[in-house]
Amino acid sequence: MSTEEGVAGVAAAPDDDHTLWAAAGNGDRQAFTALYHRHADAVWRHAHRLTGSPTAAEDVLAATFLTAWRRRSDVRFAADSARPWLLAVAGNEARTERRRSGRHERLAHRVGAAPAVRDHSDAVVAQIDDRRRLHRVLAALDELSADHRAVVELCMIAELPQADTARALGIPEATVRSRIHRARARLRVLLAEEVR
Amino acid sequence: MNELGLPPAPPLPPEVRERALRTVLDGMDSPIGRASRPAPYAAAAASLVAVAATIVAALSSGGGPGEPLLPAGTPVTVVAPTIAPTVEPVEPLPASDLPAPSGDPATDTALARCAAAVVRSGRAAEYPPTTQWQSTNHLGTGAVESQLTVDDSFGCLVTPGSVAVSGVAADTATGVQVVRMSPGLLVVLNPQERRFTVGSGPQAWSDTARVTFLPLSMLQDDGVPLDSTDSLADVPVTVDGGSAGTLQDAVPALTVVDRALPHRADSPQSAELAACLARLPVDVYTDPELWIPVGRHDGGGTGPDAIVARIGDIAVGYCVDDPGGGPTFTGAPLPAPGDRPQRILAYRGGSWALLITAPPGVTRVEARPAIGPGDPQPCTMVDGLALCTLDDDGPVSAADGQDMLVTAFTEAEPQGIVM
Repeated sequence: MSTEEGVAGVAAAPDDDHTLWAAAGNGDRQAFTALYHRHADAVWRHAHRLTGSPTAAEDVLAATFLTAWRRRSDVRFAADSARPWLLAVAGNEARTERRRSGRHERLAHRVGAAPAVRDHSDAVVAQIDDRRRLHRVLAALDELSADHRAVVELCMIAELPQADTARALGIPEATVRSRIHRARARLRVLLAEEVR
Repeated sequence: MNELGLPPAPPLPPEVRERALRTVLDGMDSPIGRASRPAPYAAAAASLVAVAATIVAALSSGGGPGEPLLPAGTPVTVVAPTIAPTVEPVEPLPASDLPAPSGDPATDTALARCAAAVVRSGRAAEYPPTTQWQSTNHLGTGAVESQLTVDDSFGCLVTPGSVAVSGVAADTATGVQVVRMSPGLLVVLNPQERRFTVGSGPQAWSDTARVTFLPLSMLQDDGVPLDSTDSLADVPVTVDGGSAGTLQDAVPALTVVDRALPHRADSPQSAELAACLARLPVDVYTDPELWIPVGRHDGGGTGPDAIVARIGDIAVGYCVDDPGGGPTFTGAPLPAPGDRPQRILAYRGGSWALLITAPPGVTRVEARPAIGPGDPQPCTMVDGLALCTLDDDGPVSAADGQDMLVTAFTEAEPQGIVM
């Protein structure tokens, strides 16, 4: 199957995610490819935020949809959009990627050390500020416990509701709230400029 | 910018889109895919995949598929948190007044309810034409409620039985307006993107967003989250460092009760459920009285007791008497009907619980620990659902991340379906 088929499939497929996923569950690659094209951009953006690198985001994008394909028969949808589920998978893939690759070293390589300002044009300064901020945030996430980091990634980066995060992690909502509260307090210390 | 101040990510370049798709398509032919990944991480991914499907429903829930809007001519109640209810006739919203489709049916359904609430209440002149409305953010909250930001200008809270719409930001002296959307939820309208702060001290909430949904539970008084019974007169609001009053000055949202849903009647089981729901932050369910108990699960000494509840055909949930955390309620949208049992809602605290659908044909459901000894324990079948609970006897999980194996037996598949 060529990727062109997938593009054509999107253009010709008005089906909702539920219908497409049901077809994918029966091995329909065109339906799965249509799902890919529908959600690839959102998954890419989330992965880019979690990795700070277009190269890593591409890896995560592909890994997310491969995982989704392999697990396609396990998934059941209660609503019409697959996007939140795919974002959750992408977050997990991004964490796995960072851990597997040696997070600190690769992160420093990809994001780069906080660069010196050499150009005072607004655009360049803003870009450098963004990279610095990303560097700080990803480094701060590494300071959190695994439990807190998982909740922060789902609630504050993927911006999923706390109740859904609770269900995803299999913990009470009250626990999510307390973890978010404690994580936010910790992040306020680590990221005084970003988290208020 | 999100809460962590992360910059917006760039769009997916077309060449990357195609290259990644090619990788996926090639990998789909591989029997092991990314088998080189360390096993613990793959297990973690599988665990997240298994439970994350429940995210989808709540994120995109617009109020539920099973409860139609009230027919034309039916009275609806227009209420506001701080003013006396009034009654307005229902006028059906013609298709020509609906916002343009967004491509997301759940968002379209929720936005249509928001638009209908404005039009039906005779307040349409205070808003942009409904045909021009666009949802610029749609977030699910709790099991069945969702928050929409419309045109990056005002907010709408959609619950199973009602809709609350903030006004469009008034031209106030401070440039910021706080709106009470429900007893536990505020919206801060900030069209000039000024720096506002709600509360004081390290627990204050500060932002520059044009529209901010702010649960009261996110604010604290001496370390205790606020709830709807607390006085808001002591919670300051500042804009650009200057005083802008207190939360007591919040104006009420336009609230329309647009769906006729039954409320919980008094009974011992209702009282128990009410006490369980009361342990949740006040913003999780705008009207917790809509949760109605439908049965009790007896843990039989091998798991905690629980009460199963539902909101019509919209949502189901249960209160599990967790030995670690006490009575704990969790809910989820009811999935679309199917012939086979479906997982709905798993719980993992000081015990395990799983709620599944039990369509006709399911004869029994049983649960046992995924690892270690343990005889199968019967699950309780009630109202087309089955609830299983087990005590948590250890930290171990199966390789796929599951703690409890649930098997549903049907007439067609008497060997059982592992959920």
